[in-house]
Amino acid sequence: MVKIVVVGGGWAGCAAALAARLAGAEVIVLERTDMLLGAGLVGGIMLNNGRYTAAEEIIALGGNAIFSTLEGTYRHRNIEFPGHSHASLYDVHKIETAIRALLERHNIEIRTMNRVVAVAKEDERVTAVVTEDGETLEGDAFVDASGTSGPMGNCLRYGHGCALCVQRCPAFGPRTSLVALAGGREYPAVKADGSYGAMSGSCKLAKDSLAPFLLEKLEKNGVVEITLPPEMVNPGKLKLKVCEHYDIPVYAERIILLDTGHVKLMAPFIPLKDLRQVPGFERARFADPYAGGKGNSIRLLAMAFRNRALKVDGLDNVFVGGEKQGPAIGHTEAIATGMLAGHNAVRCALGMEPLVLPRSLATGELIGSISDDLERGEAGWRRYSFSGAGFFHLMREKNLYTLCRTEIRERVAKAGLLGVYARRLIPAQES
Amino acid sequence: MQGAVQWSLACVDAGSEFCPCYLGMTGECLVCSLLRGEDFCSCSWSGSCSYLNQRWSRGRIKERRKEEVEVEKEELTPGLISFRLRLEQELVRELNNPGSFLFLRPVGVPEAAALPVSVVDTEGREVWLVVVLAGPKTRLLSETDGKLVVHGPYYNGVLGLATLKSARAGTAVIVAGGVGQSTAVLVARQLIRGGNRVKACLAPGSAGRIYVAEKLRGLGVEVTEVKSMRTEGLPFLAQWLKEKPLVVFSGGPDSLHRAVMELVRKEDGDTELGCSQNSVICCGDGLCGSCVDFLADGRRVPKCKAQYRIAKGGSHGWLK
Repeated sequence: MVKIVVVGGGWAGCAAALAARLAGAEVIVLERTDMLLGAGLVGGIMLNNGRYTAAEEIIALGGNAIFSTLEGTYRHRNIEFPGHSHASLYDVHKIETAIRALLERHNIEIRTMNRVVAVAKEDERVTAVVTEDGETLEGDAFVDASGTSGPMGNCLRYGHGCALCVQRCPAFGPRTSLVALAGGREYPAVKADGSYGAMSGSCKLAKDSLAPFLLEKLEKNGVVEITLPPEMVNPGKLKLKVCEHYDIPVYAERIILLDTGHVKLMAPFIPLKDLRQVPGFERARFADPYAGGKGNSIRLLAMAFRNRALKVDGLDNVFVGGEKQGPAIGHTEAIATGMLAGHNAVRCALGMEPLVLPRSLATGELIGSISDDLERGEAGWRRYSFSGAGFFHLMREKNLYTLCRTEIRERVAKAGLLGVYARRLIPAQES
Repeated sequence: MQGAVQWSLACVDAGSEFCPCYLGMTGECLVCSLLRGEDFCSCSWSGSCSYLNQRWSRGRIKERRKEEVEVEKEELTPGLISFRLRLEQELVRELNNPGSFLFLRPVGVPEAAALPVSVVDTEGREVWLVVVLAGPKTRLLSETDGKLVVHGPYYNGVLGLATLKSARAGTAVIVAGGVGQSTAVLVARQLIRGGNRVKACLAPGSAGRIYVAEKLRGLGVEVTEVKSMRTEGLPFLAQWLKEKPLVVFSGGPDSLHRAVMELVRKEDGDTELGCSQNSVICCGDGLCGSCVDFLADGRRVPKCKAQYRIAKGGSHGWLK
């Protein structure tokens, strides 16, 4: 029996758990809050730009379960907003229970409100994690998908203090890093001015606080753009954002709203007294972070040094997914890296060679580019997303970006990896 | 399980009205990596953020109360003195927790003569403390009539507070001897609040008399009195350990703690440990250095503030 312990129940952790389970392992997911999906509870943007290619690629690799589950939760499909094409927006109020049900159907054990506080190690191998209530959970290999945002001390030091985001550190305790607890090294993203971390790039308004004419338009089209009065334009704010792919001048000049169940406002924060000057926003209030008038969560502060198979340097059996594996921003990026981390954790437990995705695949190129940065000693200088900024340009340059499903399948097939995540590595009778 | 667990430290004052403290101000905070000058936040989490507390406090540190109080003194036996004080309700409430203690000194003597004394119990506005004559501080106290200077509240008189507070609906065992008896009553109250059945074995030890038996019986504790903890008490404990108690609390000298730990280890169950904190406490605020000790993993801690797991195979160890 192979047992994989996944620390962190965000998109990456859920994807890792699913991949490890599909490979035939017994899997447990430990999540410190009372809900899965972490930042995915307030995100919602899928399939925009190169994320479409990446999603189809994950499906071809055998990770279709997550995307077919997502299908049932989309509020809007194929919408356009500045710099982004063919996006779909999932409903942030429906996604958690849908993904939870998916994991439960696969007999993955989910333990919420189980914060990891210590690890047991033997040489360079982690043997167990200990939860806050003192329970020891042993495993053959581990996935750290604990993210890089918070805790409050970091939000205070590198941002504007705890803004009461969906991660709810004050209520559930701060994020802990399995890698750090096990003595592994971590690095932060470095902004242009030399400061650390990056602020989450959007905030959410409560729908009913918007004027009816705006809400109607938003619910019909999925997107609304409103030009700001010149005195409210603050391009400096873009530099704070974690999402370089939404870091273009139009996002400073206009309010861009997306309908994800909440009203997703594509800015890290806006003082409420300013926002309420804009017609239609007179009664606006924030839903996430609750203090979105003040700031937002700070992310990219604790990324692990890892190899191309996503195994953590200096630890024999710990793999990383999501932002923990590097500055790859977004749900699709978390799912892509989480799947590989979960799959490789099982390979590690079985003593098999880990899987390294070739650079002919979008995920392979993403992981490879971050590895290049690590090897050049430029860790944390750049941020990556399938959907924009430098990496999307690179995808186009390398002809990786395509909307043609057949072409994507052929690429995966050519790499000999069609359905690789869906194949059991452990025969059914043993798991 | 293979491999050693690395536990985090906690601070008895973290998250209380006495956080931030001078250690936070001087970059020596026991829990907050940012206040220690590290780049990133990573703490053992006390329920509130010490860094935020420090920032909001704008450099102000809440001082503990210091006041002159009338005391009622009684010599229980030669060399064993009981003090009863009437304090404000709010302060008494703060003291009604395991491990709480006060500094006592006669009016007009230097602050260095202040003696840390465990709160045996509280009732209404009354606080009961017991002192065994041992050196100059205790002698000065014994010779004083009328008022004493009382400084407090302080909280770190026992180790393993988290364990004592999390023990629920099981069996708990207290072994206490000498002046270590002074920690037993508030520990028992805590364990009873957790719905535990509590057994206690008491010995007179250096105090020359058992003085908490009546109190404990009044709380519903099954008390066994012995003449010698070593020859009579420990065999009782060995027997009780067969029942797999959730927690064993040792109130007494370090030699008792070691003996208790040895027995618990032998039993190889899930029994957790708590003990009286016996270091030489002088200022109570982590500043003077008199209680500094080294954990098994080499970390240097002021024991007047540090709470740590009393592991049976982990990195903290019990004593150095």
